[in-house]
Amino acid sequence: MRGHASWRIWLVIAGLLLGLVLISGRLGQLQVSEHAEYAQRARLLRTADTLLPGRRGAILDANGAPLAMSVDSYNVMVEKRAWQDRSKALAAARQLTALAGGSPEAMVEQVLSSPAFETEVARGLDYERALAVRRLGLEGVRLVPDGRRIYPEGSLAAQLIGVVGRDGAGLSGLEADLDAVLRGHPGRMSWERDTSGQGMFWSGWQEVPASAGADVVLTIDRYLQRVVEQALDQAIKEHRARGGTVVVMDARTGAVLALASRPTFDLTSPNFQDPQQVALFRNPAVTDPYEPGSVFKVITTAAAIDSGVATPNTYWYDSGVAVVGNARIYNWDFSANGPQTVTQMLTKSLNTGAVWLAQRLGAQRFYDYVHRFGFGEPTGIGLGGEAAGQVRWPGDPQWSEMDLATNSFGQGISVTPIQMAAALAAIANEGKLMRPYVVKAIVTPEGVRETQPQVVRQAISPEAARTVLEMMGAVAEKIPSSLLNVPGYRVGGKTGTANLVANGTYKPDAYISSFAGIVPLDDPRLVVLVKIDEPQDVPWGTVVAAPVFAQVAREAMVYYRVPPAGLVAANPGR
Amino acid sequence: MAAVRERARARLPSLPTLRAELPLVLVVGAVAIGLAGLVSVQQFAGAASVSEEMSRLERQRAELQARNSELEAELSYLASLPRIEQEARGRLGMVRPKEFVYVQLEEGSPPEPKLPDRYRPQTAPSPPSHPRPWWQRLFSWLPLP
Repeated sequence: MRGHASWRIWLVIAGLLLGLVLISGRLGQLQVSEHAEYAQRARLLRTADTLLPGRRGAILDANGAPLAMSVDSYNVMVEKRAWQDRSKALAAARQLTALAGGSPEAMVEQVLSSPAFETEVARGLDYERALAVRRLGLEGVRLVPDGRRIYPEGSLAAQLIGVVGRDGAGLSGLEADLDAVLRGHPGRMSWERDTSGQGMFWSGWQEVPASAGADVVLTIDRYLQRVVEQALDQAIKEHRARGGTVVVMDARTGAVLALASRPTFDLTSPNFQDPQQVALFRNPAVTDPYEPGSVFKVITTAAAIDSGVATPNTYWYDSGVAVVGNARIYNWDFSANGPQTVTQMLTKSLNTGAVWLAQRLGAQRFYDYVHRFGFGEPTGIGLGGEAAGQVRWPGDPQWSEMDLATNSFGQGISVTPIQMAAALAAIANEGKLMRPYVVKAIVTPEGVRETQPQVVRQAISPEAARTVLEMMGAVAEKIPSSLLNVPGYRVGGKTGTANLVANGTYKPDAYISSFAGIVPLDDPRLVVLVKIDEPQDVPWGTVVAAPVFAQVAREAMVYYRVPPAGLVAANPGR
Repeated sequence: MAAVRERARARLPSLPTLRAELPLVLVVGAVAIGLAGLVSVQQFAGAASVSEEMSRLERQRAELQARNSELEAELSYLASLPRIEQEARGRLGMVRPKEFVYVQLEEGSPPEPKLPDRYRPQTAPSPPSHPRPWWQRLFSWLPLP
């Protein structure tokens, strides 16, 4: 009997021991082998964290004035469980909408219908309004710091600057191209919280500080940009044009001082829902090629002068028609001028003369110069979506002698406004083709990284460049002062009136009027390219585009304190 | 042997009996534990106070940063070209060259300048007035149609 009882006791003890072993094993599994996972779960349960946005860098003009900058803003988040009582939720929503805008009913509905634990009900609140929200002390409502992009100069240089999305990432323009530079790195703040989700003041706060993005200093000058945009708007209005582009470039360095296109969009409140407005986000100065028309005769002339096949005073006989194969090419006014010099060819903008020069050069040499001036390839300005333009080179299957003839006066070839401005800047810069650029410097806490002007190649000799400049001066002198008047300064230029190409064919009665000018001619500082799309009253570049150049040149010479010809600057600057 | 034991007993102090000293030990222990607890409470309170102060300062820093950001934005708007033009035009009355401004005056036209008679426009002479006879003036007093 005693032995039997002992056996039972031992059985109970063994059972208890087994249970103890099992429990110990499970404890060992939970606390030793799976420790890291459960510790992480526990940490997540008792800690809360929030992202601290890294402020996006500013985009500044050449003198440091902000064109786009970020300021702190706050988004309002509401916990769904705190708004389960609809009447209380509505009362809270009324207080919130009084500060953040919107309808209280819609706000409550938004929170309650959301499957998420927490819903963003308002964003982009400024400091004062955020402070007011916090003072309300509403249950389940918290503020999340964020950043808001502001534009002190309004929509100035809208296409160049570009837009950012709701998440603060750049979507177009420089905001997209330099997103990696501008974007700040977010930080993180974490703390322990109690069961109600509130932070426990005695717990440790851990903060990984955010770092701000770099500031980008542009070559764009806000004053000149404003002058250019106003002049462009005025011309478009006056001639009821569809749009236009103006590029102002420093002839010595290739720095772009102003870059404007129309139509444009409201940078301060871009509408991402409207496809027509989204289409305006691109920068036509670099993305949209066009036929340059007679402005291209300057390139043909420069090639002829540089290669020595002609001088400004070389004569040729203008019969009014150039025969190429079975085709006949006429002058724009169907005139026949008899013996003409190359300078007269340029001043009268004779197509037949340009064809004659190109034929004297020969296809190989002509296209060599086309390449030397940078056509047919992107300039490398550093803006997204830059087009190369279209040039049919000898050897291409579709190339013919007719291409040589028409290309000589700017037809059958397409260029971007920035390419054309850069090519003319090469003539103004003693034949040196500079790489255009818009970013002057990138400023980081570590230092300033400045862009250095870069010579692409010597397109023509300095002597040839000076000769062509004088010929452009002769062209400008023939334009009536009512259309081209820059008092005190000699200017050079060339007009262009090209048919508009749409879907591979010439659009009837639709023209692109342009003028490329250099000022001052004796010591070139600026190259200004003006291109007006589809003016409705007159198509001529002389009438439509040259006055825009004159207006910009007048203001720019005063602004940059360039002394008029024959005067010495008392206080040279800028 | 017994003598040795007696001598040793006389030299060694007598050991306290546990039963007699127990309350004192407990009291001392309790006081020690209490003091230790107080110290830890004091340390905890101090840490909490510092933590709260840190939290307050963090908030203050965030607010100052936000305020600074607002001021930077305001400064940029104040220095922007549209605002400068607005001030130049609105407050200082400046205009662009060759730009005409038409001012609407709320006051009436100025009084006619006092010019010598020879510069005044010539007006037709009024016909000479003849005094009416007494019987006509009498009739004007009567309520006649």
